[in-house]
Amino acid sequence: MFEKTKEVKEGRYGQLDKTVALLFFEPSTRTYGSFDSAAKRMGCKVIGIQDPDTASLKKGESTYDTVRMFVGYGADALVIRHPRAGAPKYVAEAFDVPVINGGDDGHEHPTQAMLDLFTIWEKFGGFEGLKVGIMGDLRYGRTASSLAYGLAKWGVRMRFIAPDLLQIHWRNDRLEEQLREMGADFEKTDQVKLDDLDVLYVTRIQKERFVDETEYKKVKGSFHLGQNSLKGVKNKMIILHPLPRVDELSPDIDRMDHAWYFRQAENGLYVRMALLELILGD
Amino acid sequence: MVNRLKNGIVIDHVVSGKGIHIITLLAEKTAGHRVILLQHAESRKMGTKDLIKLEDVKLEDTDLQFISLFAPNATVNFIENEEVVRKHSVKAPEMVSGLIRCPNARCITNDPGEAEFLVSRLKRVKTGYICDYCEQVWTTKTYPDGWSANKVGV
Repeated sequence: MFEKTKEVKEGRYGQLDKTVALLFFEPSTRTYGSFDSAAKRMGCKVIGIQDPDTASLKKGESTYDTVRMFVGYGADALVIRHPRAGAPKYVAEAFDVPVINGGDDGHEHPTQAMLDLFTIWEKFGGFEGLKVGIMGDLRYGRTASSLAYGLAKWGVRMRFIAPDLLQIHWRNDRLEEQLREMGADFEKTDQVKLDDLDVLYVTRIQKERFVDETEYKKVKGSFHLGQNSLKGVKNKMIILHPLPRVDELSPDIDRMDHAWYFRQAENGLYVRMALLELILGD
Repeated sequence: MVNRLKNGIVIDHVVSGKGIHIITLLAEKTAGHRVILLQHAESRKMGTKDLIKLEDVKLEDTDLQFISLFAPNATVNFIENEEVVRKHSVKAPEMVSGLIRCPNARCITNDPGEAEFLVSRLKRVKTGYICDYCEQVWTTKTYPDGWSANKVGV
């Protein structure tokens, strides 16, 4: 997957002449845009729905009927973004067409994890010996959990940095239990200690999750990174963020060599192109 | 019947406070029959437990599956003429399919538009059950109170 993405990024890719249906039952700027662009660059026709508000869904059509229609229109692969967890799995079981999960509620966002992993691989040439800090909203965020599963598979050491309220042990899925079953090497802390990290993955802290405004302000203060917060970090350390950011990463970091989040976002295009080629290519 | 049941079923070692869910789930079966629920009874094994007596009621395998969700270590005693004729140790099934909806309101299995095409599936894991679709975890202790009302078909 990573080798394929690298080839694609270097401009080495063929044309697929297939039809890809982008079925976004929930709006998304970045994921839709990059899948749309990826499919078109690979020579695919793109059909589907971008805005559920203007689609037949507004009239109450079921997910099943909507998907069935686009399968009937000749879709060779489906990209499903859905506000209900488990919807892509359901569609994959119901139809004999490859399905890519483009994000399902708070459950998973696997292509985001793939581009996160590719960006780390691109920087370090592998995963051996790396230590990755994952910081922010680890309780409700889906990108952090998808990434953690990926990193655990490569035996990467992880540090989950979050206030207790947003730590992984509060998640409603089995992330922590599964990481333990996988023998993953990880620690949990509410201290922002960055000096031994190779990668810092930052996610947005969601204000709406806090009942107590004072608690939010306290957390927001300690989880806001500016240039000053990065004193003493490793020279080669990179900062990633699934974007959009709010105020957890100060724009003054953008100029630093550590800032890799825009490059990471761009990699989303190449990873999705590679994925389409792997699924639809000969 | 409070002390001795002539014919029927005694469900013992139910997780304390969860017996009411079993009674709700078996409501159709027990309609018109005498039912006793003893809550928070003392138990050497469990600290406290619930105990249920159902007079002249017969249970099928699917009923035992429901019971296992709320009482993973329950014992079901089948009584005839005041004698225990069969003891059944409830074993939590690996997969509970099409019986109970996932309690996660944001799960695809709870999308009203999909009900016709979709069968709910709960899979057993170390700590309880997970929905095979949304992968949310539910343990005997964290089953929400409204859960039993989610029985498919009710």
